[in-house]
Amino acid sequence: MTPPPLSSRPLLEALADPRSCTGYEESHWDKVIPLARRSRLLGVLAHRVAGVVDSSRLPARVNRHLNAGIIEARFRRQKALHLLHVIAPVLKRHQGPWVLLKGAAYIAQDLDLAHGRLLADADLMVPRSALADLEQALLRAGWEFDKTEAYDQHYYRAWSHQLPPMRAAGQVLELDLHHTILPPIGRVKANTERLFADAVAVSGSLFHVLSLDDQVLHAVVHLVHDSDFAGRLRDLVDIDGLFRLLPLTDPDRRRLLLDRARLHGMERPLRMAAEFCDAWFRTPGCREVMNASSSPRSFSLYGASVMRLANRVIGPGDAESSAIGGALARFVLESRALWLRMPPWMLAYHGGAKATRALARRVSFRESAVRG
Amino acid sequence: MRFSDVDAGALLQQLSSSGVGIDFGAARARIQTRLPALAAMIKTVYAGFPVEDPSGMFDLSVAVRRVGGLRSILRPQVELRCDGVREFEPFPLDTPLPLLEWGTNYGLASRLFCYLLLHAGVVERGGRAIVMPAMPGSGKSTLTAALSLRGFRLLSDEFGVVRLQDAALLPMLRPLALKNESIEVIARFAPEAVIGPRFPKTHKGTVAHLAPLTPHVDSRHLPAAPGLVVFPRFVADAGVSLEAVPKGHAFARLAVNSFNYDALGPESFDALGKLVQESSCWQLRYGDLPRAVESLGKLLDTLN
Amino acid sequence: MPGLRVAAFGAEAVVFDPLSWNAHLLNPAAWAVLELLLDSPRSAGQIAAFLERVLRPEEGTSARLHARHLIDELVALGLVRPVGEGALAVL
Repeated sequence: MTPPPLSSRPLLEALADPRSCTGYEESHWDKVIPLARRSRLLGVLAHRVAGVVDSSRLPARVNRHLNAGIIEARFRRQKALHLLHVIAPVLKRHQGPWVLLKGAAYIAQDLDLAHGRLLADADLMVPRSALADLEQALLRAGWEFDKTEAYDQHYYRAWSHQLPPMRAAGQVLELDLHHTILPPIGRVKANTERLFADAVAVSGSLFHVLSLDDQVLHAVVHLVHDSDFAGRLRDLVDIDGLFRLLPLTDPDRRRLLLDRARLHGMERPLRMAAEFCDAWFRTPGCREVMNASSSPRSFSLYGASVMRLANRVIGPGDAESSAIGGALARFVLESRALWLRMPPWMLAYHGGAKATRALARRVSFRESAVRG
Repeated sequence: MRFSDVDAGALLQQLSSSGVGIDFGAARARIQTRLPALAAMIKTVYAGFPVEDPSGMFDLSVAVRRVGGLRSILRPQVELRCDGVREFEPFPLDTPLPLLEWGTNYGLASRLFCYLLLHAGVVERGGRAIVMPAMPGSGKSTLTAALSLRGFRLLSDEFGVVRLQDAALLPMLRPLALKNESIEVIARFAPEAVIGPRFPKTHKGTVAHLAPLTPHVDSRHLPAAPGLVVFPRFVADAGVSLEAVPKGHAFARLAVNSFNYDALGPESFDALGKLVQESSCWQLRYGDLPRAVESLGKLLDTLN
Repeated sequence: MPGLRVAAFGAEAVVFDPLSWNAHLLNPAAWAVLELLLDSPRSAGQIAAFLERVLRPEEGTSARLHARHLIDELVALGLVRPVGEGALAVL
């Protein structure tokens, strides 16, 4: 696994060792802060720094930017809590369990990795049988679908694992309703029954979250399998946080995670994620996961080259970096993401330029360009 | 050394390499460009500002450059990057200064969550501020410009920067963007004012930039206490009339005219509440600019 | 969760909802009712009686209706909720 690009290192070092930032020159902060902001990790960095450094030891200008990161994260967190409060009465009349996913789940469990994290939208998984009724109930309660083309609507409903995003007046975040965690026609199929069966209730709330192992695997496939990697350092940070939470260093926990990965058919993505976390964050326990892979040569040439390409684009990058090389890498990875998402006959159907563009717009996980 | 004093060639060289720093007061930016025309425009509209060393830490780095590629031969364009990221579509090559100014404003507005940023012009006299929220048709920029040219210290034309701890107004001093008729109005109002080139075909009509006065530049780190909140409304051929605005309404109208009020939550609520509590709030209808300036001066003086 | 924040400006007030982070401008009648409820929970009848006392005579005749609308709106905004037996309290 090639090491992270030089351009990302100032950010990685700050995240890995926030205590050391008391020694940073202002010119170094001038690199770190924009990198963090571009990666949507400014709040995460700020949270880590605040945990170990007294703000009086940092320049005022630096504190202002770190605080800005925390403020943005806090705003989205509050909006998520409000959204869940507002839909709870609607949900209660339908069959559950109602399982929070990703950021909303991290917030509900008050995980450390939720602090400073910029939520993009509210993801909720419900039983497929309840989806149609729930959708109608939400529409009656004032929610609406983004104005999407008929093709996109059809795509979402027929082939994807989620409804098109829903919005409501007075809500800043979108609500994404899922019935499983990966597209059902994709190459990796999660064991949805077990996802629901092993979901854990959040005390004091009517919501559930996935089991911790499933949360880890969801974060893993969300990055490795369901995205084109571009600018997804933030997702890797989530995975690193979850690995440490297990903790991945515990052999028994590791074995359970690997077993669970096998159950869902997610061993290869898990291994890929472990390789990345090891290279980018030195996350403890990753080496053991890499070595535990049941087939030592499970990484084909294809897999390795995907990793190399992804390595180039996952970080915030040097914004002025080689246009052609980067664009090519991104093109290959976008194509891979589409390939993984659907069988060949559908890719052919999608072949039309317009359709492909619309598809890429809808399914590539949204850059959080929403400015709260 | 100020921009007005530096050698134009040396300035271009500096902008083309590591850039120059500009301190607006509440924030500072690093600017880089290789475009000689833009360098000359910067020298004009930032005349009174000290040229600062580009090393160290900045709140924002802005780079303006020509767009390359085949298309640029047919349609020459210029693009702006904030901290390396291109956030919006390029402008025609002949409008680099409006692009620099709007892009810098955008970069500042999207980064400075440490302050409450109102969309308002702010001036000060006698230690008390006049905050003028920018509604369409308000003539806010014209009024702010006029006040700044008649003895009121300019804090900002675009950003009412409110410090969260105490609701003090902080300067964010930038060239003042004048549009369409107000360019000539201000040129007549103060013939000695330094106004940059006119750009006729922007999406907001004709735009030109008024350089802030040197004494105002030198005071850009001096806060101002709340004084007046004035909602201006330009009505041609009207005289001047002032009407008190209930404070609750003033609060709502200020919050709605803010870049980041929503995101700051309880702190912006408290700061805005304090600002409104400590201000006298008015609606100003005016068609006569000199009389409007005079009325606001008198109103400000009545505050104890 | 911290409670409601209030910026009172004489007869009007702006109120901050700590859950939604929305702020609401309350007219004098709405603010008077909310102030009452900040003091302690009241029933709809008590609120109507209060409005009857404070509203001007010509408005006082429909105080009960006025109270109903006000309460409904305050509840819809999420500032007030029903507690116990038909009483209302600030969230």
